[in-house]
Amino acid sequence: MATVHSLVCWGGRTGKSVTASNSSGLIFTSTNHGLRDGTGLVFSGTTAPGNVTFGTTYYAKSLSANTFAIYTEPELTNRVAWSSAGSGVYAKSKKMLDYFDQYAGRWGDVGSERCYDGLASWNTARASALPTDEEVCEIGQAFDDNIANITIGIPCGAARIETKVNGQYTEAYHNGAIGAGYRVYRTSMGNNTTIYVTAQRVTVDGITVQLAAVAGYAPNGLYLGALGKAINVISIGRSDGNGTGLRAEGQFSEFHNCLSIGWEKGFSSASSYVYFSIYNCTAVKNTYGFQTGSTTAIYGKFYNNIFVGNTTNYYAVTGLLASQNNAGVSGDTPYGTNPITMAITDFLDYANNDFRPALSTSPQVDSGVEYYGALAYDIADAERPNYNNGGAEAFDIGCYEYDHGYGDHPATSHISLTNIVSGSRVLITRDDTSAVLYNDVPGASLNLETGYIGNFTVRIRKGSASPVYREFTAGGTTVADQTTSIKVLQQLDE
Amino acid sequence: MSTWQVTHRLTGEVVYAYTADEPVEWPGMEYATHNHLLQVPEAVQETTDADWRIYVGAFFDRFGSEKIGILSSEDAVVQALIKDASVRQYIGLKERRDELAQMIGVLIVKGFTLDVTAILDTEPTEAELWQPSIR
Repeated sequence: MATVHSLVCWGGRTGKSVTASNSSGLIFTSTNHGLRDGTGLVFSGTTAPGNVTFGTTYYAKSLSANTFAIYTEPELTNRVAWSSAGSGVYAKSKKMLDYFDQYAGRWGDVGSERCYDGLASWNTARASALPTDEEVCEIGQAFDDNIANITIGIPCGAARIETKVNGQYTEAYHNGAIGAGYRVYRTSMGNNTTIYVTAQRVTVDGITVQLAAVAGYAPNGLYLGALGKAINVISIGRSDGNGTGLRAEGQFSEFHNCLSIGWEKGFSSASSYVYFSIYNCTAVKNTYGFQTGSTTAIYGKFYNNIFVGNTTNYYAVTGLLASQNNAGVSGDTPYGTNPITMAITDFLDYANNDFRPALSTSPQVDSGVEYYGALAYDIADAERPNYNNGGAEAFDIGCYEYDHGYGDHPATSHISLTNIVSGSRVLITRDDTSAVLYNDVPGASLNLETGYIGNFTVRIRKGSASPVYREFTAGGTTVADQTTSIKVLQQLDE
Repeated sequence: MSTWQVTHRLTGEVVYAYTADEPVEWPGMEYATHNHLLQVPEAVQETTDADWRIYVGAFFDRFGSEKIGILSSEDAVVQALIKDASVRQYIGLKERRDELAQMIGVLIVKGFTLDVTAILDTEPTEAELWQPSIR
């Protein structure tokens, strides 16, 4: 059993073949290039275009879907002028080259790294994966990946498609912002699903799937296979009442912190006996927040969701599994127990697609419940529940936690003292400020939780009653989320 | 754009994949030693109009408790609607949705309690689905 990592960056390992020409300066043509402004590029090939040096980093500025200019600095101030076209020119991602340096060997041997130009290429290249392996598609760069439709049926044991490299979110992650990061951006319509996962145990984390506003049969967004998970996925339709944004197609699939906008069905499930779960998700501006393909029982579990601002927020269903704390508007019947009533004005800016809670007093704040398998972060990778500086804290509902403005919970550490002579007084102080962390008579042991991270001093005295002991002094250092242990060795003062 | 799979001619090993309008002879993956194979997306079972064609009986079943009342109605308009539906091989919920919605609307006006969305937009079960080979 092995974990096989692949990297997805703009252009892939080989880069993209580009053609230079002149239009008020040097421009490059590459079909559906998908570049974001400021993306670093390094050129190579047979003959460099005039004013371009192979191996030097330039910065792209998109001019159209198929053309881009280059600049000499990321601020895009000085555009490279036209001189000559060169020949056999390739553009590679500077970000990718930096990853190769930073994580040499992670994606295979130097020169043959498993690095691809998008999800479709990764899916094609890994078609011979082993059933004993876990495949990980690490998306390392923000760009638009123009995909018609792909079926992910890689024959591996499990797979992860995530906007992370080495476990850390990259610039490809949208951070909860619509249009940011890596985006599967579909410009050719068709009667199918953009990302159709048929393999089991495929987790999709932190990407955006979006349809362009072009005519044609409206496809669907993302269909999950059995035991699949969609985490922090944003799915955006054409806002014309067609297609399904996110659908539980396989059994036991789960959606966490997902946002679905502008479809006929924001969320959906296949016919009965799917046993899917939808947790802390938000569906807005769809015809239906949720609508099922089942005529009988759906066997779905809904916790902490917001289906608000859709034509029909909650399609009438039967066969709900344990469900609770879902929000709708007045007059709705949200699934399960403890329904919450809110309005589109409880979003920060519904009209401009900002679906964070408007206020700390908005009904979706602190009105959620905890559940098995809950994630400790929201769609923007912010802590759930949000830190409230000593105030009440609870899960919010929907995919966004309200930001109380205090940042993350402060790190904590523990100081553990053992073997203390009964009746001793213990004084623990910070070395940097001499502030007292503890001053009391604890008994034979002490386990002190503190937010202080740094050096400290312990003084222990027992001199007021016989038998008396000499002062015991020790020092240590606290470490975030760890325990610093000291065994106390007091000596009798005879 | 198309997706191209690059395999080594001698070993058959998949060594790369990329998207491009036409195949590109990348350095180290020359045509003399490597095949650049155009990938055709796998056939995927997708919802089509045919997936929303149900038997006439199944369509009437979707009227629920109102079914008997509708079928036994002596109202001439209701009888006409029943006859129109009954002579068909199947009811195409998607391809004739507007017409069916109108028909159900008429039945509602006649006093029957029906849910248009539930009748027309609920995905057919396998038992409901009209099978052209079984006739």
